[in-house]
Amino acid sequence: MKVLRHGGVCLVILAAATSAVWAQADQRAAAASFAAGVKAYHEAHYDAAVTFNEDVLAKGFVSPAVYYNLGNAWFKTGRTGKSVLNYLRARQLAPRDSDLRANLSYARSMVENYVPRKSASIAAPAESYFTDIELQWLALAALGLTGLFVLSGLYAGMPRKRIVLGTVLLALVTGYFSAAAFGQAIGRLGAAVCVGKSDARFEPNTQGTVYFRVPEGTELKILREKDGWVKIERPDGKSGWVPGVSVEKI
Amino acid sequence: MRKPMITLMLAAVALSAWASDIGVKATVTAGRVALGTALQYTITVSGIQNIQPPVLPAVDGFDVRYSGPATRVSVINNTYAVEESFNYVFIPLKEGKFTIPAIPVDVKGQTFTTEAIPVEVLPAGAEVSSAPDAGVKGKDLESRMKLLMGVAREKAYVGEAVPLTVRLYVNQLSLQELSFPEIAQEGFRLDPFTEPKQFQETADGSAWQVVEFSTLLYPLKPGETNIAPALVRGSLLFKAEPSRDTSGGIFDDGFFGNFFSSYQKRPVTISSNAAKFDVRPLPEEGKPADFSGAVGEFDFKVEASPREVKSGDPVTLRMILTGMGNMKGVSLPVFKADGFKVYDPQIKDEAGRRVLEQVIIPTDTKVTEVPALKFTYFDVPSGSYRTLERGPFPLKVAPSASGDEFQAMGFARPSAVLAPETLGRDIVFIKDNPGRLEQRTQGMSGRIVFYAMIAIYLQVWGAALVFYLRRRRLLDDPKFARQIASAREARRMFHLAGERLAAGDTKGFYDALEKGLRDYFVARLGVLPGGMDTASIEKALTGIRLDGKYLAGVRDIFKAAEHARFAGMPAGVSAMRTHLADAEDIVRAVERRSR
Repeated sequence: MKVLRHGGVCLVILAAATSAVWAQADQRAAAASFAAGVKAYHEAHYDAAVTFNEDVLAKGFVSPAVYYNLGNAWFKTGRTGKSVLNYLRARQLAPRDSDLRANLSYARSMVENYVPRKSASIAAPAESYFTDIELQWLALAALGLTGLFVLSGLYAGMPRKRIVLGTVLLALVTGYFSAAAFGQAIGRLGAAVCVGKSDARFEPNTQGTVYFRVPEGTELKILREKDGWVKIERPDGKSGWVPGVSVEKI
Repeated sequence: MRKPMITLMLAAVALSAWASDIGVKATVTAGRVALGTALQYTITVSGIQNIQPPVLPAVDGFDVRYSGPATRVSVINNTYAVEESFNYVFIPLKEGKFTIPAIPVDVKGQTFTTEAIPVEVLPAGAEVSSAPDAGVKGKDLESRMKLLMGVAREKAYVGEAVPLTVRLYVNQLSLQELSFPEIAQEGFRLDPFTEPKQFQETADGSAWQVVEFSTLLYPLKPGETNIAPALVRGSLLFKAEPSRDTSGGIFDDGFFGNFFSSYQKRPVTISSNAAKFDVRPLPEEGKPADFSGAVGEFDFKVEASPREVKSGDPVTLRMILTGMGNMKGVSLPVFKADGFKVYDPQIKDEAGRRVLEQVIIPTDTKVTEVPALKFTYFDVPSGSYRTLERGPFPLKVAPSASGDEFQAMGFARPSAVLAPETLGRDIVFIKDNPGRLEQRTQGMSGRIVFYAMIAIYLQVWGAALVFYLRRRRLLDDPKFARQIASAREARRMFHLAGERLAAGDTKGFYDALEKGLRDYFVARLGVLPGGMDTASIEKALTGIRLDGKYLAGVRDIFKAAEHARFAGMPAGVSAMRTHLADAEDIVRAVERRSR
């Protein structure tokens, strides 16, 4: 039994060590692909840069710089849709990157009939400034601060009015960040980009009447999926069916 | 079957594959295969990526399995090329001659079709004869690659653009990493070679892959001009002889032997023929003084806008030269006229045309036109000089209001400014550092920590709140405080009783036991100290619906205590232990009932 138990422990340690070594090897391989993508881009081989950066993603690794460089490479190959898609993916990870904002803005300016999706929410500035994880932690920190304030006020014998006022203010901060985190999560549900020109039809088949054209790079919301077709909604609320291959989720 | 199977370029380029630089071809590793071995069938799509693998139909005589894609990116002289290959393993099922049918391949809505490929399946163990490129060496190799150079004309004028073509012919060989042709430029100048074209040609009964490089040549001096042979460098891909391993492992059989054969590259330099042509000088007779140096066929356009301005407002003059000739060496007409302030021109060379833009500013209201502009060149088809005149362009100049004059900011001299600055726009450059490469699943662990933190928060908050409320009640409610303290005090007295029991002090034991119980009932059940008799205690205990056995226990303890105190009758140790245990049970039961 003892031998078996020790053997089992050794196996677990060996498996953990092996998986750690593999993970490190994968990360090195991903970093090498990234570097190759940078070199290809430097030499204006943009298709190759796309291939190398997609290889990093295929290896299971992500970073804002990977999506950013991929967006640049796609842009240089003339694929505005793919470019906007990857800039938006990068923005989810690094929303305050000024280079990224500039490039996304420029890529959007290349999109035919681009209509920005406007948000009336007062939490919109926080939604666009923080990542989802940052918003969640901010909400949690504000919540913790609220609790700490209430309890310390009670123990310290602080006047009740002051405790109520402070609690309301901190609860508002908590609510703001929570609303921003919630709004961001809702906004990302079904968010997609048209990666190839397409026609939106009334029915999910090629015989359906064309309702409107969807230029490459248009930012959309996916409402439904059916038999290789997706029902999309554009920023002005009009919706139609397009082939699934022409849109990619962010 | 360990004979090396040499790669064959059996399948030719697809019939309609050269539209828009997209190519589709199918190849097999061998035209003959022995039963019990396998061959690889590859569909290669060049010029595009990210396409779906073609679905192969059932092929008579073979079991077909898809073995995966491969992407190849190559760079030749700064030219980028991409190929995506889809590999299939064909396992022969029976002997005979079969044909792999033409496969339709859908690429971006266009359908390309590969060529059908005949394959012969030999009996198991039969030796497959060498393929056409097997043992490609020496003279055989030379006969399968050739480079031909040609100029479009035998005679040309100095400065005339002469098309030059270099064609590389390859027969059943795989050449990679080709360079652009290198030609020593003596007595002429060459434009850079354009993107090469690829196509197939049949000659001497063989199919040849052709790569055609084109450019324009400009003679610089008259006389016979010799063009030295062009050189194209590249790498020849050939299949290496596999090592003969005698260990007899699983990789030693025919199937694995074929698939694990390695390919090797060998650098090759291919030389073309030399070429020559006669260069004639431009005639001196009738040569205009304003000859621009342009030789060829040209068209010349001039635009001036706006045509109605105030004095001091800018007018943009645009000259566009298009056509076939030595465009880059050409001087466009120089604008000179009285009544104009003239800025330096800006010249751009675009695809097949040269554009000059110049800002001119009429400074006098008497100016009525932009004068005509003349462009003189040597017209090759007619063999004579020709002048193209454009304009004049009517111009209406109104007097300007004071202070309205156009001024180029930041330049002291008018000639230093071309036009208002237009800033370029483009994306910001890429990032050289990947930052922290995270595995996609790592976000989940962050989420688990986040939710764990929320749970801990709620628990700490709840506990702190309960503690606070209890503390407040203990301070504000003396009865509650007494009740909470009573059980603790009773237990302390029972502990004291236990010590006296151990010391053999019967009276002391019952004093402590009775006091503990009585004080507990006063504090916990609100029995008045003055009315502390058995009946009032029983009434209080009945009020909280305590089980009858506990009432009996209370009575027994009080009775025993009375006997010990007044009658001095010593109780047995076991009875005392029972009474102590009963007392503790009673307190526990009351605590449970009082909650």
